[in-house]
Amino acid sequence: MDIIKNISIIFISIFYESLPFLLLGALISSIIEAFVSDEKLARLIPKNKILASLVGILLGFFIPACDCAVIPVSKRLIKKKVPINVVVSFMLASPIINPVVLLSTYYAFYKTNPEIIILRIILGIIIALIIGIIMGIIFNKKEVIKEIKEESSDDIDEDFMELIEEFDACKINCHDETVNSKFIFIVKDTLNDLFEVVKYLIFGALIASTIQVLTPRSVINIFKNSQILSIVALMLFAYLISLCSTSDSFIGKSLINTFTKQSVLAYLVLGPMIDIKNTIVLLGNFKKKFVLTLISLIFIMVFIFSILVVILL
Amino acid sequence: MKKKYLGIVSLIYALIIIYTWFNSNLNNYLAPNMQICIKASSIVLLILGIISILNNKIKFRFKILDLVLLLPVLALFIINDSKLDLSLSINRSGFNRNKIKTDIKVEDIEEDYDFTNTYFDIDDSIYMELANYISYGEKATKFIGKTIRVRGFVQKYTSYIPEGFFTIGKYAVTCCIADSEYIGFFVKYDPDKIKSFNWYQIEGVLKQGKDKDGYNILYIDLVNIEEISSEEEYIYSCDNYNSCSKLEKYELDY
Repeated sequence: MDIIKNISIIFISIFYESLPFLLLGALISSIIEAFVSDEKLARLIPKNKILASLVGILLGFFIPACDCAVIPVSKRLIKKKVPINVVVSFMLASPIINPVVLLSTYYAFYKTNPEIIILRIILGIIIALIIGIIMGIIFNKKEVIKEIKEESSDDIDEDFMELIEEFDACKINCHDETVNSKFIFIVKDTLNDLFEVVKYLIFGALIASTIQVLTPRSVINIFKNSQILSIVALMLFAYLISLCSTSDSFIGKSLINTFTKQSVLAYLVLGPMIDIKNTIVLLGNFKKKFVLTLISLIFIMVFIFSILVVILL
Repeated sequence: MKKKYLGIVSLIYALIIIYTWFNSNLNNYLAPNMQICIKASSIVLLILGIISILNNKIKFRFKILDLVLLLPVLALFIINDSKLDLSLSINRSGFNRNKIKTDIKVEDIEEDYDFTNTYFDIDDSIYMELANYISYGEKATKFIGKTIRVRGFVQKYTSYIPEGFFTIGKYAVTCCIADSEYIGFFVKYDPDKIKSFNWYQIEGVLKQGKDKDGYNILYIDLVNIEEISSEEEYIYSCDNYNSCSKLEKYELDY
């Protein structure tokens, strides 16, 4: 019984910590849908793939989304025909380079290891850029979002279609009634988006909290003496522990006394990009092949770049 | 009713958050600094829920999987205001090491200690910073010989604790309980004389010893020990208590 109680406490703490950011993400996603047309978005994005991915990364700096909030926003951007490379670069970079995370990384490391702050940003951006471009090539013009079967032919959808038609009209000529229906659309769409993601967050948070209760964190200490194994161990640790990117720096700081700098860096770069909680959320919203390719690329790239840091520094 | 269920779930979420908030239990899940986000969310969810229930155009299609949305309510029911088990601290400790390799020569540590004017009287508002600094701050050796008083719950005979020592500490929470970590101090004292996970106040002097890997550690050489009733087990960084200025007198250089 105590185990279930402990799991529940950690589960609720992850749930309460993530919910505001998911809500924010769902709200941003609905506002994009209501106010930004596909054409307007397309005009913002350069034709050159690298430049386009850089725009995605820049977007990550300005949209205050941690690793939970990026998923609904990314899904919306893909639905609005934003190229995959831009969305993936945004999705991976945003949880590392958004101002809140930058600030917490700064506070955790500026006194003891300031180089970690710079390396986390640089590696985050480079890896987001490379993976964005690779994913763009592999999934070019392929469907990556999971079909949701619900919207077919009953009265709910008729009402919904009516709403959509109303704001399509509004995009051209708005008057009070359509402004009102736009607002109603945002309410409905936010709730739809939010709970579609929350369902999977609940599964993810349950798995993460169960792992936290059943496995001693010190189990990774056995890998501390090997440069390569400690990188792998801390990557797995980041994946399984599923901390929000706003708080992982402080745990990273306590790891730095036991593990090498490069392995802590691997932990700090991989954790925000992917963890078990977000894997479940992604699998609920994107096609399996897309998610598995993305996760494999993140692990491979973070490992390669961490080894490069070992060699170069 | 079925077509309004997301509005109802939104209201339920708002109400459970508000319930936790007004029962002052948010501290059991989130650091005070982080609570503003969830409090604001409860208001937004309340508004979204009410609008979607009242507006006839907003309907949703119910799927059986959506029942998982009620799991947080069940979890809160199971928790019933309790906190993390103290014994779980074994799973959440054991990282922090001081990597000081050179022994510091300490001359003439006085044997009569005056605890009426203890140098480190550690309360919750400065616990996290001082425990971290003394545990693994490389320059913490300047405090060798200083008197210290601290309260917490204890661990003994776990893999990272050297023989003849126990640890006293609390759960340090950065953002949420999921990132909490047991932090504290090594104490030199016969572990058989204390009970695991019980609460104690100890007074002693900071000295230098070796951990299991041969690294130097700062530990508390125990002078007085007293069993106390349980206290708040979670501690947060000093900015949550507006108490960071209390640390200035220790001149912690990193």
